[in-house]
Amino acid sequence: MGYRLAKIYDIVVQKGGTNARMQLAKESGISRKKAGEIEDTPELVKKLKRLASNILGKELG
Amino acid sequence: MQDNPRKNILIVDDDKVFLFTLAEFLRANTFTVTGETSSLKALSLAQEKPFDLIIVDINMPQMDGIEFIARMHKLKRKQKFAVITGFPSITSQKELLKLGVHYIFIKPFNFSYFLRIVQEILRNGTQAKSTIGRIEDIDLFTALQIFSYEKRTALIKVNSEDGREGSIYIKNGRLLSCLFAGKKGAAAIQDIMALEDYIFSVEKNIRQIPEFNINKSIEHILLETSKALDDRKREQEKQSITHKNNLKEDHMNVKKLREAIEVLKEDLGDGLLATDIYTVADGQSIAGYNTQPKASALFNRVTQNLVSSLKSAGFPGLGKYYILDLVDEKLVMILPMADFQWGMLLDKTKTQLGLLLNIILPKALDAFEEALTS
Repeated sequence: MGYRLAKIYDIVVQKGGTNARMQLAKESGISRKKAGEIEDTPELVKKLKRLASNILGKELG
Repeated sequence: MQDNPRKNILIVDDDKVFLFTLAEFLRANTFTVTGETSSLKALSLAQEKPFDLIIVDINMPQMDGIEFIARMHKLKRKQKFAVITGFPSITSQKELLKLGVHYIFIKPFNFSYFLRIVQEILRNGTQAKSTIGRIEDIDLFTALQIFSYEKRTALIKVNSEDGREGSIYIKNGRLLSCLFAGKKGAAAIQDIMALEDYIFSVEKNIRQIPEFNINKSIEHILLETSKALDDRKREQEKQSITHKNNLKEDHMNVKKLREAIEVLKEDLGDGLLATDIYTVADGQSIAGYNTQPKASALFNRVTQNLVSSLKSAGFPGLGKYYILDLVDEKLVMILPMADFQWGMLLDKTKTQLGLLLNIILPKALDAFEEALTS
């Protein structure tokens, strides 16, 4: 299950609010709910992390 | 020019300093003046004692000016009424004129001008010429053409229904200055001409001439403005079509959005009075229940202002929502969601806030996200 993907979402919501969450959903095509359900593939994690960093304007750890 | 000193005037205003100043000014001009800060006491007084003219402030606690005049109106007395207000909404103006109010003074006003109008009301006994436009079926466009033709000099104050203010200065029929909501010159006049709901008033005794930022004849500027507005409208229509197409390209599933609204209605029941999901680009609703287009446009602007103000003040940004607690047991909740916002008008007495924030809201956000990504 997508633990890391869900975690990225948690950080985005915490730091950027719902605005950032919806932006991430729109740009990734992956909803928060789906992020918690699908597998944490390295490609997906990398993609979501990159998008989240762009949205928040800072690198995610 | 002095009027009959036996004319009796009652002034009702909860601002003691302003009331004193106005009363003293009229007394110095030989009127008999009674001042009252309480609208309830003034109502009793006016019912016992005849006054020739009652001047009422609109915005008062306990009973506002409109209600005061409406109650006096029912007594069918022959006194005349004038009101004082800081910002006359179009709705209140219409109500006041229906009640036979002779004049609406908009603060701030010149006292000599005020005296002249008071004398005219008491002398003529008919509704004084109102310089408030729109009510007399003259719009600003027409008024400017008249000023041009008659080579008039005037300062025109404009107030839009959504609270923006501006001014137009004309000298000898030539437009020399226009300011509106932070803009000036041609840009300002374009915005004013594009307004749908506004009122304007004309000041002939100009205390301070504004800075010149235009120097064209009124005809020229009206022609240019008409053309610019037509171009703007065509551009907006083009953008609206592009935007709607982009919505589809962005995979915004409007059908799922409507399903999300249905779920919200089901969860909130009678507590939900209205809701709209609208785009940030133009404040247009794309799905809703008991949709409120004006509210969507208003809160779109409010939210954007809030976001930029928080940022410039160095505050953290908006989180999931913000709530406005309104009078009459109403709540507005706005959820900012990237290119969209979701606004809700709720009845506080029929909404459990805890349930809303912890269960209904997360469900709504998930549903919206589904619509965005499906």
